Amino acid sequence: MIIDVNTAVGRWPFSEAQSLTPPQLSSLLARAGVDLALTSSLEAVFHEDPDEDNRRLFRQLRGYERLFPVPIINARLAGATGLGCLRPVQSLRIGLRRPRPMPPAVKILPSYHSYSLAGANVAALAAELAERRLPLLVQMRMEDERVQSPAFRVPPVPVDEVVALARRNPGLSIVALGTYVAEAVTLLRQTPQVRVEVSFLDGLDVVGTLVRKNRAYARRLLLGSHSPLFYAQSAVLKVQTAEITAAVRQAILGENARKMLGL
Amino acid sequence: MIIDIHAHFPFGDYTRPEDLAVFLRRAGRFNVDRLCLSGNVVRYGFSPTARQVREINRWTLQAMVRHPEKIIGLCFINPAAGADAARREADWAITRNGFRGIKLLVSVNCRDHRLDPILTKAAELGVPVLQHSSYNTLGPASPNESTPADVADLAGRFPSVPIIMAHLGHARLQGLSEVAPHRNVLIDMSGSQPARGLLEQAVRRLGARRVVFGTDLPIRDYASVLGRLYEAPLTDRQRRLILGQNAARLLRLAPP
Repeated sequence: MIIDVNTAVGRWPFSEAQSLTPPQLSSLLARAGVDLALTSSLEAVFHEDPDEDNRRLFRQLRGYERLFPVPIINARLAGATGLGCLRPVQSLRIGLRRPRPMPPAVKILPSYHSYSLAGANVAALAAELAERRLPLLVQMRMEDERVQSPAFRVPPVPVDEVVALARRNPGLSIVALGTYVAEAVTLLRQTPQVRVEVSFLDGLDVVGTLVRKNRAYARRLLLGSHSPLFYAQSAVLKVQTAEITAAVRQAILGENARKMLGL
Repeated sequence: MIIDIHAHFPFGDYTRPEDLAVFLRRAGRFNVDRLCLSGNVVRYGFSPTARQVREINRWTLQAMVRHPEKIIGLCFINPAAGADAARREADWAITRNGFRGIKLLVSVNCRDHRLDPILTKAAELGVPVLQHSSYNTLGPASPNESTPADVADLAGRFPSVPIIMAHLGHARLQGLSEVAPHRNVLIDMSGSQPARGLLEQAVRRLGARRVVFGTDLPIRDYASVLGRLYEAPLTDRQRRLILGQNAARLLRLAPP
């Protein structure tokens, strides 16, 4: 089973080509061999209160069993933590035989919603997610900062903040989405539990290189494509062509994510 | 035939002669037939001396000699080192040692007429020029880094010289529009992340005959760059042109 932990649907304002509907995303992921994907709303990236975007996402993804809706939470908003923020996903069928009472994970974009991971609201959210055993997906960046629109520059999430968050919450499962290699190595080295995905990782056989650096990293690498902003096949090929064992390949392609999500 | 027009060896973690085998194994994994190497062009900073340039090119020559069936040399030249040095280097590399093109980086901007003797030499020898370029929201990598608009200026001054503008990922749509009127400008696929839609736009605005496969290996990998080509909605003919036919034409390689 191949699981992509970083996808989205909706409109990306800077490029029509990077704006896909659920059937379009589902179809291209299928062509790339992806069986299941964690999918969020692109509109929610820009809205201060993503609640309506999350609700629309859950409605839109009904019938697309390949796509698991993942709500985006703006932890800066008062009351963003607690049961309220998770209510939109209750009672929804998300591709499993039985309805799940909760989403498979929760995503945050601290840079786009203008807050630090050191804040009290994030601490409360982290505690609640840890208690519910729900992974927290932290979107480090959406674009290469060098090619962002000059009029809309958004800095990446400081990797040190993720390290500190992980250390304060050892029971919280964290996935850093969109890390560069140096950031990924920092997170893998300095925390015992943060996972990273491959969408922004690049360089000659980057996946094989990381695994050769430390074999234990293999359990914390996940497939993430960052579709539709990126081509899905670039991410899949990084793992499928890496010089690693078949077992490690299968772990990174899906088994690590399956275990993390409790599927 | 698949030709990677843009690769660097030695570079980064791959500095020993035997590390070239890692490159070739990786290329083989993706059925890449030929690699165009231009050495470690930042080994001595952005403006190396003539002697340092020669050392960089000697590494490329060693790779060409060891793997003549796989490696194609592009001669790195620093225009700031002077016209005479540039011409000497081109003669040594291209005329005497079989390099098939010229690689230019960032020491001199494309609008600077210090490039003119080099482009004149390229025209005389009938070889293409691979020119670094970038639009960088964070600012240029060096004060003289060329943008696509600068490359367009150079292309206008030397319409008979094929110029391969590196880094589609950094050209943006603006850069594609700026070089589109200059039929002697092609673009390589390397640069930044595999952003959906850019490759299709390059083909739409320039035509598939003006897009070439290039990775910037080992900074980027074949997985990342070829994934773009495999997923983009292109025809098989367009893919063949981009993967190797265009480069073979530029480099005057015999058809397979």
